Amino acid sequence: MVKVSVIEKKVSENVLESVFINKVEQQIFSVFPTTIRNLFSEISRDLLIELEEIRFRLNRPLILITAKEHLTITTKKQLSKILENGYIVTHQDMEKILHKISQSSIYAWEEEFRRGYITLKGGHRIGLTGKAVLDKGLIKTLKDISGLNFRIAKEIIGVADQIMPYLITREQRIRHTLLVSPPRCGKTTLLRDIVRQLSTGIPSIGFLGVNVGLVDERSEIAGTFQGVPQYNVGLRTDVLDGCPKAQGMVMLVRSMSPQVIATDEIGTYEDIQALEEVLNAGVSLITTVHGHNLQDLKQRPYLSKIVEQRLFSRIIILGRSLGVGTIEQILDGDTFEPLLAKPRKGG
Amino acid sequence: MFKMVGAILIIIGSGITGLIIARNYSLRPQQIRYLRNGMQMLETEILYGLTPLPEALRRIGQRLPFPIGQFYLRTSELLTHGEGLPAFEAWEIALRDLQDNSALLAEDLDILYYFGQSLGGSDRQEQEKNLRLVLEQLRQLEIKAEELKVKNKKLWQYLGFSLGAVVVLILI
Repeated sequence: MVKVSVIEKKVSENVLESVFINKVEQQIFSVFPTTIRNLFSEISRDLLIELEEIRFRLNRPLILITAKEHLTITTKKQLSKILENGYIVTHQDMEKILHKISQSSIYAWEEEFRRGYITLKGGHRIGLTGKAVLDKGLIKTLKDISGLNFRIAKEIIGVADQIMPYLITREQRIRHTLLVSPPRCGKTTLLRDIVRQLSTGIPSIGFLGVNVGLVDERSEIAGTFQGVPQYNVGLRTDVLDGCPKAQGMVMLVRSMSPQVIATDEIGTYEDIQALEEVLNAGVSLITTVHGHNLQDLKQRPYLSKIVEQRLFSRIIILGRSLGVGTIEQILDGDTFEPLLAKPRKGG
Repeated sequence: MFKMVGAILIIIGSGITGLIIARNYSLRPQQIRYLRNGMQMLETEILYGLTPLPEALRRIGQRLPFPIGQFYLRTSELLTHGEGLPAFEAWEIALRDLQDNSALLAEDLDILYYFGQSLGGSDRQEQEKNLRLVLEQLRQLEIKAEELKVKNKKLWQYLGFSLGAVVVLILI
């Protein structure tokens, strides 16, 4: 009996992996020129699954990034750790990729160029570097694009399962929550799943679901492509895409009457002001911030203020000690007492 | 009897040739006008709608009659087909088809060709400049083509038949 369930789990994992690889091939590889797509033809499935980023830098080797290492592909389609041996990205490659992602219409993506990234179908994001064109001291657009970073989107449904009970009170109220995490530790993935669960409801603990307002300034949480969220963000979620956080939060409170507002990476003075307005309106808040631990936050001028004012009642700290998405600690925001005995593996 | 049939054939033949030339004179300004309409729509799509080219050109193509509509549709198709050509290449290929199917002259096609070189490849401001330029150029062409039409259409309508008649008279 036990064995059967193990096999079943394996099979369903396999299916998920195939779906993921198909997605990567259709949504990311399809914008590569044929020469580069061919390089990937002999890469193993195992590597494709672990792939986090693919980086193109003009006149430098193509680099694949996984959680463990940096690799390149040689012109003979072999993987190599010696980056110098890798395929060198040409000017033509860059042009072709840009042409493909912009559909030959650079003008239509001015805003994206100005912000420095483009969201692809499937929620994958391409970071851009190049020469900045300034207008009155502000970045107007980028030209002569010299670097592209494909960040492969991973949606993990259920990754927030084990922390949801910490976020909801017995009276079914949602606690103000702050996720603290260094980059690339699964912060956005976790936030997305929290939003999904709050919005759709959690039958196992009898939580019915509430209206959630999501301010997705960098199109990362919902991965909106042409107005449609590419990730499952729940049945009752309203997404304000590409909107500055501070303005967006206030806008949502006024227009959509959410019970929860979620947003990513707060930090500026305006953000904090908007936070206070949201809290005063009686709306629960879920947000994230960059950092390794509580100490980090206390050193940052505006953030230390909100931590000390005890605005958040749960502080969740993420890390990598047991792999990507490890929940290192959950703190009570009022007493700063730890609620976990030891770090827990994510997912 | 044999002579009669021959004479009639000659007159009809040259008459039709004259009519075709006359028709081309009146088709050209019309087609330039459609092109101009298309460019105006493209201006709206690019500057205000920020619509990507394949979609913008497709919409325009559907709203214009043959062969101008076909030209926009073909460009749109080439942009999305397979690996997708860069905008200026797709534009060039579609132009070649347009040359075969339309009453447009080399000078008209040249203007379109140069416009195509910068299509899509730059920001909104640049696109606006190019669109303004091509619209103005097309307007000038249309005026000239219209003048030619007035001057030559009537002429060729009769000239073909008259020439045919002259030839017949000489032969008889």
